[in-house]
Amino acid sequence: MKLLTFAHRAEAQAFHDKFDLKSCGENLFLNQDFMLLVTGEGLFEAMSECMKVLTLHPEISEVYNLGIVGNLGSQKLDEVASIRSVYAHDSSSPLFKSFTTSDPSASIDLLSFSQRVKDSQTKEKLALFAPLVDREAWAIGFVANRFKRPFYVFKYISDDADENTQCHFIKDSAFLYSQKLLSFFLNFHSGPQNEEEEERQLPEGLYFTRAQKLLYFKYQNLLETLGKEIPSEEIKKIMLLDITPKQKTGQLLNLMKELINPMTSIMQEELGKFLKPFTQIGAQVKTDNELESSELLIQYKIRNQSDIDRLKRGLELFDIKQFERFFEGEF
Amino acid sequence: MFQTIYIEHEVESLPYTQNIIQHFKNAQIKTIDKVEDYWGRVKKPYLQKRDNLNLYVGRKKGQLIKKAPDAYGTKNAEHYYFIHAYNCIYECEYCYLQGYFHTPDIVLYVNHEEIRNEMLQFIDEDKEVWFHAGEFSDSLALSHITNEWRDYWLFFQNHPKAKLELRTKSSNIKPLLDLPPISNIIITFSLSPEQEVKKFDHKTASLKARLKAIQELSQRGFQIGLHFDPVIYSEDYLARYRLLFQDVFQNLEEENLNYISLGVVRFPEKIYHQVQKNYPQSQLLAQEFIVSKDGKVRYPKPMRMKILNDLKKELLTFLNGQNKVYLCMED
Ligand code: SF4
Repeated sequence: MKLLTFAHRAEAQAFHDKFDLKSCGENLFLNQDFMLLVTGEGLFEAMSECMKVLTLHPEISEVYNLGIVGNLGSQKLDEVASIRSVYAHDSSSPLFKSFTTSDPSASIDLLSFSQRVKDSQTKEKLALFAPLVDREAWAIGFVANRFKRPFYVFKYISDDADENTQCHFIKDSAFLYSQKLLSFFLNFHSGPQNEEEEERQLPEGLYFTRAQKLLYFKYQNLLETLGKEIPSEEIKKIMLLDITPKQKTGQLLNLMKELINPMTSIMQEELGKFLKPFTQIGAQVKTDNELESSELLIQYKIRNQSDIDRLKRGLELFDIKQFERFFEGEF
Repeated sequence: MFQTIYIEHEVESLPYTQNIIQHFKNAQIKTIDKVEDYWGRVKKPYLQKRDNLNLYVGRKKGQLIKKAPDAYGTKNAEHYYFIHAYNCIYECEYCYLQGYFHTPDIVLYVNHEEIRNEMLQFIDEDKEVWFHAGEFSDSLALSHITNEWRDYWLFFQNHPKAKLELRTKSSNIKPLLDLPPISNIIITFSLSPEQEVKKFDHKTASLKARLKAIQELSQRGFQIGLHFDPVIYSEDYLARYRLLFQDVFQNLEEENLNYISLGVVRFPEKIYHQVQKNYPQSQLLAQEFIVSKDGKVRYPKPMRMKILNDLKKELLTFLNGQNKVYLCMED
C-alpha cells in the first residue's frame, strides 16, 4: 500500500479520479493499492496527520509527498521534479536534520519553510539552502524516516516564490498541476525501477534460516566483486557430508568466508596449531574475540592424577613466546 | 565544479578570493556574513558532492593551528596541522571526511597571513617542528586556484627548522614548479597499487599521474614523502605492493626521499557506517574487520601487524638499509 500525501485537496484531484478512491476517514481516501491523505498546509499539520495515518496503517509500505512548490532560484517553471533532499527552515534558522528521498535519480533539493514566502528578501535568504520551497515535504520525510518507510517527493514547480506569487491563479490551475503530477507519478512507476526484485537462487539441498540467507547473498555479492567463485568440487564435498542440511549451510558459509578473506583462515589455522597442546587433551581454550591481545582462558576438568599430568604436558608444549610473536604479525 | 560560491564579505576583495572567483565563471556567487551561518548548518548527504557541490570562501577564526595526533609523522619532532580548508573534491571510499562534517561542501580559508603568524608561536629554532596541511582536505588538489603555497615558501625559507608537509592524491604540481625546492618543504603523495586506486580512489589522479608528478618533483630536487596508507588487504597484497615500490623507486631520487609512512585501513565506527551507507557494494565491506574496544573498525592485530611487517621488510630492500619507514598508528 502506497500513501500519497498532499497539502490541498485540489492538488490531489487527478489522483482521486484516476484511482477511484473512496473516503475512509477525514481527509483520507483509499482503494486496494493507494491511500491518499490531505494533510492541510504547514509542517505541523503535515507531520501530525501523516504520523496518525502511519501509526494506524502499518500496511503502508511507501510514502509519497506531492504538490506544488515555489521556485527560489533558476529552476525551470511548469515542470515536475523528483526531489533529492529535503531541508527545513523555521523562519529564524535552518533545522539541522534533512531527509533524502529514495529516488536515486533525483537531483534537486527542496526547503520546507514554516511560512509562505511573500517577498524577495525571504526568497534570497532561503535560496542559500535549496532552489525550491514548499511547506510540508520535510514533515512527511520526518515521519517516513521514523517509520523506516521509503519516501518520495514529486513537486510541480508552479512559479517564483516572492511578492509576485498569485495564490488565486495557482488555486485555479491546481487541477491542471494535479494532472501533471499524476502523469509524472505514473511514469515513474512504469519504469524498470518498479519491477519486483528478481528472486535470487539458493543452492539446492540446503536449509537456510533467514539470517543465513542474507549472509549467503552478501557473501555471494562480495565474491562477485572479488571475481571469485566457489569451487564446485568443494560444494560437492559439503553435499556428501553426513550432516544436517542446516549444518551443510554453515559449512558453505564458512567456505565462502574463507574465500573472501584467506588471511582469516590462515590466522585461524595458526591459532589452532598454537592451541593444539590444550585442545588435544580436551581443554576448552578461549582467545580474545577480537584477537587484540594474547590472553588465554583455559578450562580443564581435573579428575585424577593423569589429568594433572596431561595438563602439565600441555602447558610445557605451549610456546608462549611464539604465540606472542603471532600477535606481532610473525606468522 | 561548483554550483554556488558563498563568499564572506570580509574576504571578498582579497586577491586569493578574486583568483578563486576568476576560475569559476559559471558558478553563482553569493555574499554572506559568516561561513558558519550556512556551511554544515543543515545535514547535506555526502554523495551530493557528485552533482551539487558548493564552495565557501572565508576567514578561519579561532585556533588556526592544532597539535597533531601522536601517531602523526616522524618521531623526535613536534607535529601540528593547520586548517586552511575543509573537505575535498575527490571521493575515496575509505575517506574519513564522509562522516566527519555535516556537509561535503568545500570551505577554503584565505587568511593565510594569520595562519603563518600563528605558526611563529610554535616555531622553535632549536627544535624540529612540522606543520601539516591537508588534515581535512587535499593540499594540492585545488592549489592552482587557491594559489597560496608561494607565500608559504617565502616563510619557510626564513624558518629552516620548521617543516611544511603538503599531502596529496593529486598530480597537480604545476603551481609548485616555478618555486625553488627547499629542504624543509616536503610534498607527500598517498599511494596504493593500481588496482586499489581504481577501485577505491574515485576522481583522484591515477597512479601513473601521481608517479609522474613524483618523478618531476624529485628531478627538480624537491623533498618527497610517501604514504602507503591505507593499505587494503588483498590475497596478493605483497606482490601488488612490490610492484608499486618498484615503480615508485624508479621515479624517485634516493636523496630526495624524506620519509615513508605505512598504515593499514582503519575507521572510527561512525565512519565505517558511512562507508556502508555510501558504498554498499564496496569491496572494503568484504574485509574481515573487527570492532575493537576503543570503537575502531580494523583488521585483527596479528593481521594488521603481518601486513605492516611484510611491507616494511619489502620497502627496506629498496632503501639500501636506510630506515625511513614509519608505521602509522601501530608503532
Ligand atoms: S584525497 Fe584524501 S581527503 Fe580527498 S577524498 Fe581522498 S582520502 Fe578524502
